[in-house]
Amino acid sequence: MRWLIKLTAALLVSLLLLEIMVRCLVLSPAREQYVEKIGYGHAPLSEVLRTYEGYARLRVDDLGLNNPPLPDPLPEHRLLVMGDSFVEALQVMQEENFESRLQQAWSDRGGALVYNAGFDGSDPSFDPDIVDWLMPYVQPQGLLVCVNAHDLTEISRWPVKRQDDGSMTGFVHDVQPPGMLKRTVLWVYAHSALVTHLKWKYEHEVRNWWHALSAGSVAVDPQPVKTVDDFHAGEEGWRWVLQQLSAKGMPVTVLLMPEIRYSATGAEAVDSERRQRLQAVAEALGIPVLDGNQPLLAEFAHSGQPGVGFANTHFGEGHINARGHAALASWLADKRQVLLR
Amino acid sequence: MIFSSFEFFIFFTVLLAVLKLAPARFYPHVLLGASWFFYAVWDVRFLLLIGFVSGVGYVCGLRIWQYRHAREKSLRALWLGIAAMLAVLAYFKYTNFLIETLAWLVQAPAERWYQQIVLPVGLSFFTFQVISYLIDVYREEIEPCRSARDFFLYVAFFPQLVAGPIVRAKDFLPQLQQHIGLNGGYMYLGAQVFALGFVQKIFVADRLSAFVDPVFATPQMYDASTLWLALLAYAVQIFCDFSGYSHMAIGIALMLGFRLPENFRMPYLATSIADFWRRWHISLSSWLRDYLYIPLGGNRGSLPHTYVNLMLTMLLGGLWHGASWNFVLWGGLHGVALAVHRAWRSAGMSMPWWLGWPLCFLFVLLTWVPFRSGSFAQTLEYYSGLVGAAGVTWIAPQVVILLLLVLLVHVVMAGRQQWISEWHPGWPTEEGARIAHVLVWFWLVMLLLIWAPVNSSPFIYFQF
Repeated sequence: MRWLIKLTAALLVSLLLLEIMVRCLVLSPAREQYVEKIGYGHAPLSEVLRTYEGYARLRVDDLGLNNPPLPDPLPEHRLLVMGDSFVEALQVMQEENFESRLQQAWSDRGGALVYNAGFDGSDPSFDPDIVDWLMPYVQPQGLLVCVNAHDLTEISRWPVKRQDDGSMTGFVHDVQPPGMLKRTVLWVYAHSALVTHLKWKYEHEVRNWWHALSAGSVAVDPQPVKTVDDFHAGEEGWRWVLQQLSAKGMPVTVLLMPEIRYSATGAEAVDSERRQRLQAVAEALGIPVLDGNQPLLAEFAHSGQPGVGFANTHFGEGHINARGHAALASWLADKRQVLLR
Repeated sequence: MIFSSFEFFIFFTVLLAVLKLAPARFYPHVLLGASWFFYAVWDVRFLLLIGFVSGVGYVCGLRIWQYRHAREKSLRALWLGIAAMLAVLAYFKYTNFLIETLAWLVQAPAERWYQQIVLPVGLSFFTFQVISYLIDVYREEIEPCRSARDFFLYVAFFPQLVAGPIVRAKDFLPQLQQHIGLNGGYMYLGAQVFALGFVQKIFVADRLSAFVDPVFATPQMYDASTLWLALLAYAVQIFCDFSGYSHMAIGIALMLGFRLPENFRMPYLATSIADFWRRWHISLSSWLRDYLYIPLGGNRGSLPHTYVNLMLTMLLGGLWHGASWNFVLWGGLHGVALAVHRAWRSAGMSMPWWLGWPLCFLFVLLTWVPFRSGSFAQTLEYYSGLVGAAGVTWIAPQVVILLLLVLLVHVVMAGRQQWISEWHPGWPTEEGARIAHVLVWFWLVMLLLIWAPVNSSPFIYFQF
């Protein structure tokens, strides 16, 4: 009996040590807040540590977004940058992401606030609501909608709302305020980096395997490849999102985010057909489209270093690294006339 | 279906359940079926090949024994078996290599003669097993296996099928005659050995490959410090990858009730090149010694004859690793080093360990360049980069930390028994040992859960 007590004590101490280790070396606990219509984001002013792809420790602002505190008063020119984890850029230090670097680059060209509204896991169907939410705080004068291949199809997963004549009026997002169970789970995540890490790392895999086993098949692609047909289904949604954003009364620009795999012999752009179709939709609405592949390919040709991926991830895969953010920012710096037209 | 995949975990769990439930007399049948299934998952066509190799080995073994009193006939059966194995190996592994070499000699484009040949996984390993079996029967060191089921299982036994260790029939077949089955003690020990291999593979080798691969792909882009770091990282990667695989294979076999030979004995602690080959890929180096070097004459002739034997053995050993002149170069360099070592010893000279170890390590490190590079040109590029080329500096902190960690573990493992007893006399008590066991497993599992990448890459030695 005594050895069992000793063992339990040793295991508890081990868990405590592991918790400290994860907090120091892997990631911070997930402190989340619920924002109506938008979903779950970081709690205001919480500290975020990420080492999955490199090393970054940063503090989000009082809206829970990856920015330094908003200046008071706001600068004369203001650009809102929207997108998912590529834009949120938790994998690099705050001052290294392309939004900060772009703001820095513009400081001697009339200055401008470049506000990072990136949300991990979000897709453009939320963008109109995000603009409404941030309007009182940021008062943007230009919108940069960053799109990666994931976003191109993800938009089609939400059911659309329609009027009697069949025209689309919006999306039905199933983001609910936290109930009792969700609140408890959020509390656990907020207090344990170890649980947060294990959940993020294995939730997807376990769910896929559970699905595969219950479906009677073991062969499962953890991230099923979406087809061009998915984009066709979401094309109407895309048009609606861009129309909504244009109706906010400020210039909208689409940036096709670099999502490329490098090889020693060159580079291969993925999802080119979907990109072309989105470009056609945007240009039909008079919205300019910028191709983010260009600066990263040029950087790769110049330095031989990938602008995507980190030393601890597979070569050329993953989010944009610090080098890529710098290349992207210096390329965007020359597009001020387009972005804040 | 690699050992570190979820599919294998499912496969092995099901297999253990079936072995537990099936009557003891069907144990070998179930294992043979599972081994064939395991192999068929790579490519079902390969079953025909492994069936052919096993069939030829089985029949030739019986014939060699049958004619053992008529040496000429016996020898003919031996050569027939060996020729069949070498023909299979040559066709699948060396056809395009031969075409490429001939085309280069006559300065013609090789592409038009290239054959679409898929290299069957583990071919080099199981053909060598059959050859060693035939030679052992011929030498009358063992009797032939009369049970086709047992012989087919010896060739196809899945834990060591695709990347060794190369198991001798005299070590494996007698275990089939003994009472085998699932055993709690073996199961626990096997799980420990498997976990050790798993950590080596997932925690070290897979992580290092993310740094090593891009640097070796374009060495001309990096500066000398990056190239040295990548070379060091590759040395650790290939050791942890292959030794990790071997540990996993030995662990799985133990869990099934079989003992496989040790394949690595801390090779980077070797103080001479001969010492290195007694510690690195032991099952291959001892195979080459017993079935190639000694039949060639070994060190029984004059000194020059011994050097020739060493060179031949190592050149063929290099070629065994892959159909490329780079592997031949790698084997040749090791052959030269072994000959120099032999000459040094013959002259009655010795070398203190503090000089022998760094020299040996540096030599092994430098010879990994042709082993890892895709071509001669790339090898030369890498070597020239090591002595001061300008380029991008990429000193990944994660790689440096991992290498230091591996070094620490190596040092601790080298003297673990003495340290504990000197540090804490009377330890461990029975209670302390029990708690320590649970804690070790807890930490091992948790560290794997925290740091292991979700997807694992194939083992390097699968390609050989």
